[in-house]
Amino acid sequence: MDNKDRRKFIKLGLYSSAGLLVGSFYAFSKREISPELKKYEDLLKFDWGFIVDTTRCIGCGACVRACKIENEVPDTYFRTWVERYEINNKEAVRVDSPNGAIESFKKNNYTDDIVKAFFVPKLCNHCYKSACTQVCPVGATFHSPDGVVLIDKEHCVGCGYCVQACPYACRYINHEKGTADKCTLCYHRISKGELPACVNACPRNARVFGNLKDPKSQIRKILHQRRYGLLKPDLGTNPKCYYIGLDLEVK
Amino acid sequence: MKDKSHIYFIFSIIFGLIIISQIADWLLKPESFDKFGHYRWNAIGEIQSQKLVNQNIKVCSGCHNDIFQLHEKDAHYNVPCVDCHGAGNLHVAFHKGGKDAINITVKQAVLKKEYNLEGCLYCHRKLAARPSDFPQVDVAQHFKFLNITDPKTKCTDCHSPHEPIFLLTDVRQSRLHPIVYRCNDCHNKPVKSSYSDVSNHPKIFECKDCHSEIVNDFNQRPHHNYVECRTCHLFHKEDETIGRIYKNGNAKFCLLCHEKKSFKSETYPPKIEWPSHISKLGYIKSGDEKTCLNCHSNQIHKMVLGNSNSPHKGNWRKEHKNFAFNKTNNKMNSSCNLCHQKDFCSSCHRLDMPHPADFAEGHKDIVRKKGKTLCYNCHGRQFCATCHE
Amino acid sequence: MDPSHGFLFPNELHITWTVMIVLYPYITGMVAGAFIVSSFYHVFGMEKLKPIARFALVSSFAFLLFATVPLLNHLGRPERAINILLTPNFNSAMSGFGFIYMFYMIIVFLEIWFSYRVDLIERYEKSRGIVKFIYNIIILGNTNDNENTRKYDKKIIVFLGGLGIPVACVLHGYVGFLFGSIKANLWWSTPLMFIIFIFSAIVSGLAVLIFLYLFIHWRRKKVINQESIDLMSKWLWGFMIIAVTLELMEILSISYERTEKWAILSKLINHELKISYVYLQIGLFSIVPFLMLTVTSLFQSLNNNLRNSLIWLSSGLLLLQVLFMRWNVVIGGQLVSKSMRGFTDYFPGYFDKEGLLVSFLIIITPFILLRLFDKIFPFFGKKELVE
Repeated sequence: MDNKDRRKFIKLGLYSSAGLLVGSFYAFSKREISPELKKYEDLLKFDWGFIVDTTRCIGCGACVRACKIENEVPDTYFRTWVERYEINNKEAVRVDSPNGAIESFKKNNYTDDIVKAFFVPKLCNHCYKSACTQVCPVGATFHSPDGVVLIDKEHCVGCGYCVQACPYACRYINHEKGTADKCTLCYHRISKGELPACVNACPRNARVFGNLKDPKSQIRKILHQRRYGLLKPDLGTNPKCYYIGLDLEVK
Repeated sequence: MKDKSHIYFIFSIIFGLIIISQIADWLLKPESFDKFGHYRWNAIGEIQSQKLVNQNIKVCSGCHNDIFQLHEKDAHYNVPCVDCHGAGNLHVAFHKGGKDAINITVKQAVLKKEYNLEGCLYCHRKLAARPSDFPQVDVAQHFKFLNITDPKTKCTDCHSPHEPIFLLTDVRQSRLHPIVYRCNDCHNKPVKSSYSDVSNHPKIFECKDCHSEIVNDFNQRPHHNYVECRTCHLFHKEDETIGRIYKNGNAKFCLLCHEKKSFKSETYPPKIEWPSHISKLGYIKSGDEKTCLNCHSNQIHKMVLGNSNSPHKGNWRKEHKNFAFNKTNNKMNSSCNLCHQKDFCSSCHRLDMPHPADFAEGHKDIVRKKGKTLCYNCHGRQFCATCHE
Repeated sequence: MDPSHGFLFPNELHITWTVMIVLYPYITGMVAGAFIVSSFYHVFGMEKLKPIARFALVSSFAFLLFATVPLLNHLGRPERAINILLTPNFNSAMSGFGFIYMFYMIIVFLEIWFSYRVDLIERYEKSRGIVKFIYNIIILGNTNDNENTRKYDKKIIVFLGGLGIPVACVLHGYVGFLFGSIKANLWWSTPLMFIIFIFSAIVSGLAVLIFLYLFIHWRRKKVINQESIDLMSKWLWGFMIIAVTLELMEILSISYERTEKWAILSKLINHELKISYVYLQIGLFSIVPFLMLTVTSLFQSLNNNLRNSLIWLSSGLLLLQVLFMRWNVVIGGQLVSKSMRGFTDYFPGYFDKEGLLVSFLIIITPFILLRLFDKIFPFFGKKELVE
């Protein structure tokens, strides 16, 4: 092959790769919807936090049902769920959460004396140093300026690494969409000034939602008055979901 | 140099590929990525644009203010509408009309109205893990206590979900009760002996300690055998030390036990047909919350059958003057027993009515002396006018 | 939920990483292992390994081409896989994957290209028609072949091989790091994980080369180069000892530390993974080949045929050992609930998207590809094809 041929060949290669490039550009680029956003600076005024008062929870599962409907959560996966801890007089602990407590709980697990029992609602902790955002290879999960851990469903590849990394098992793969999914604190609601669906549905005020940056907010007042715990604090994730009346058995 | 050309060539191809991939990276990178951090800023807008499904209680009260008012005053005031009625987004969109309503059928817009037993038990089933101060029901025991035979009985057959504990007045009548102590507030194990048997036991209170008269009265009446104070006065521990007390006693509350229902035992406790029971006595407004007490007792704890009001409709006596007066004797004499049996009046009034036969004769002088206002001491001002125009 | 399984968080009922993620480290392990073996010849000039060096290189390439297939099959949105190159989040251990993979691919490709260049030019000149055209594309139209070019090519090969060894270690050690750095997972989270992965990669690389070499030579009834097989089997013996020891040391240190997680992990080992870990991975697939390789390595007087059969058998068993090790790590780690109170179940299913049939196909394709490559890049030079 002489030089001329080679030049032709290179040209051909370049043109075809350019063609591929342009084609793939159109294939991959999407019409991006841009609804009314709050400004970045406005969002910085908030740092949404969550309090779960385990002493008040009655395990009715209203939050789980509300969340399922609000966010179209697929069956067998949960953005929020309620766990029940029962300790009998032999100090045996039994924990259960039948189908995430979506239909509450049917009966006590122990027939013998239960000396201590309580419910613990769980949801995404929206950690300050979240393990899930750390491990996302494509930057599809991130901290929003107002402190909520969100998933960009148009960008997520569905590798499941974040599901593995979350120590609280709050994430799951939504097999319909093929992407990771989790609690967003009902970001679409809170950005319109509504409460998250689970807080809205709670009949006992066991869930409190508020702005941690606002010193006058109810959530700050409660945190100053009550004694609270965090889930798995040893992992250094700095969760932002505070549990009042947390027991040692809760992990 | 010529011998190295293939090496240069293949490395320049690779270099070219790297350049192309850099350009591709630059071109394909999503819009608004890295704007405020390593993520797509527009994603926030997309997440915000998700549809809102669960409705706020304020949205519901906008149209259903009447129910909201009822609901607001009772124990369920904290239970949002969505918990029982469903999310309600279709309902709201349909009734608001406009663009959003087009694709919604009437059927979809209907909200869930009735809850079955299971629905109430989501919250109120007796479970060890539920806080002890939260009202819980062991269904089997509850049905047994109320002599309910049909196991499919709904809670809503007796309890109104909007006003579950039936308060007397318009304002939520709850007040803080000074102290509510129970044994197991302090003792972990069930206590066998009474605290009064234990010397130096700190003073604790039972109802009778403060309300001895009421309790005494109550204990002498038949109700005492079947219900206790807590049955009607629902203690509700809001916090560790402060109790709320709810006063019940309206008609609905009595009917919980005494209304005839298909699922209830027929024989016990005594039952009445409702509302036919009062429709015979048409002058009673069925909405009156004190309906039962009005006739059956002035004092709910005594449950004395005393009735000072005329059971007859309107100005009955005037219309039935001829019956009320025995014309043959030309004397004002009672002729109730023309219609009623002889012991009709005495069954309620415990004395001969309207007055003992010699009452008018004996009091004639004193009435003349002091004037007719004397009658008003016992009778209403309209009493005389019921017969005399 | 079966109460004997204890408590699971509701989202843990189905595991996230299926048998596909078992296959990925398995295949990359063979890639890295085979490449390192080829580099022993190319870089360190171990002449004894010459007969197997090119074969090692090409098989490394064949496995490399298919390493991403299980990953793409597992991704929820495989069409967005490009995002890992477009917007890599460098806080994440996984984000480097695309770059390391591409870099390694280029190195392996170049090394193959340079080491086969002479043969390819020869074949280009002999062939005609469309085949000639294909060869022309492969050699990029440059038929210049003389002493000088061979000298330059050799230099480049040494350079690329030298560069390739750390990259191969990174490629695979990094898969181990992906697992070892997950603090949420009790079974994975150990700094030993990536060292174990590197050594098991070398074991699987050596094992697959020995296995295929002996198999192909027996099938084609060709003379086996006993020297190189002996050397390789000794290395296999050595590396498998290190790999298995590390695997056991990891368990030992967890069990000796007796931290909170041992309570549940001991149950995992004794119940959930009893067959696949204790009986198979450690028992049948580690101790048995260890004994066989000890015999072949220490007893020089052994009959060649018997020795080769033992080596072949043990390399096959070690291939399975590595596969089971991947299974026990990837699946075993996900069986444990993050609540430390129970286990979930997993069975891939036979004909599912990520089931056993698909995994079998994915495993078998590189071998078929290898057969095709044999036609283009002859593994075992013509001079060796002595009957």
